[in-house]
Amino acid sequence: MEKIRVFINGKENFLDSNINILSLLQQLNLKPERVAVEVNKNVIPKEDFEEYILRDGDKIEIVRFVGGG
Amino acid sequence: MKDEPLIIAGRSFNSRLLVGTGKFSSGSLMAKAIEASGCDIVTVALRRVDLEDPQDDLLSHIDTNKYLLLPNTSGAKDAEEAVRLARLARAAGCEAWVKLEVTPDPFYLLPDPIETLKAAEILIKEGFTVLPYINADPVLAKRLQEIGTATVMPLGAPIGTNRGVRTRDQIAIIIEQAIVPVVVDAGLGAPSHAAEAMEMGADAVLVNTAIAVSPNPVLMARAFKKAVEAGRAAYIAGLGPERELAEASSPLTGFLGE
Repeated sequence: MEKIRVFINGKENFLDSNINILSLLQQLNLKPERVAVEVNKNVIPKEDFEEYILRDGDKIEIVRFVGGG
Repeated sequence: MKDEPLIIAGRSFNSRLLVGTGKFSSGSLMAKAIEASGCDIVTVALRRVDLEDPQDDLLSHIDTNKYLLLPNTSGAKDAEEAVRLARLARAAGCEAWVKLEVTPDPFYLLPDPIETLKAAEILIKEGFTVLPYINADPVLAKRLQEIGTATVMPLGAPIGTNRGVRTRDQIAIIIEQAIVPVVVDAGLGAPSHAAEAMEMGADAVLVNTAIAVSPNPVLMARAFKKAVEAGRAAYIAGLGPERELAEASSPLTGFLGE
């Protein structure tokens, strides 16, 4: 299968081409309702996770809540 | 004591103590301390998921039906980063409330007033309820209120220093001029500090480090709860005036000698 090269939280990763955000989160064992995702500095709304197809070179940030004051 | 609730952006809260969730040694201890504090609002931060350890999830310890999650923009060094973090927090499923903090200086973590004002303007336009963390600067507090922030959150002392209300005189001016709730944030290291801020007429206080790093966070959370209630009651009751010379509390006449 063809692969794309992306950066997830700054780290290089190779993913199957045509993968969407929801599938990526499932692969990473992350619950979509508990995270927020940015692709190339644009926030992607949760309702778009399934239809948003990642592309070669994308810079993906996956964040969630941690303790803070 | 009958007191009015704390009202922020039209929403009412019973507790005047806000609690931060950082620095606790475990999620379950944090949950117990939050419970003991009686708070209604807890602050959280937003960070990259550690892909090596994705199971460590803060929200599994916090009942988001019971507590309002107030995400902060900690880590932001300018307005652009703060706006980005606020948008991410909203996308993560939070309500559009944000504790805006922009702290470019790594040593004292003092907030940048210019970037804070800039970010507040943008976020308010985007529909956020903005609670800005600021130095105790009455002019800045005024400017922020004029553009529509929901509170102002002046610092007592730098974040995590436990040094108390070192900015007392400036905070007094902010309180005197405020048209939105004043939440004294940062530096409150002991329940007496929280009580002092409340006695001065602050509407609420935010405490994190002092509770989280105590050897007994649950008991300390309870102590802060009582201190905030005591300080608030004293403010409502009204403190007696200070004077230079002694004034006897007991009658000086009618005994012995007379």
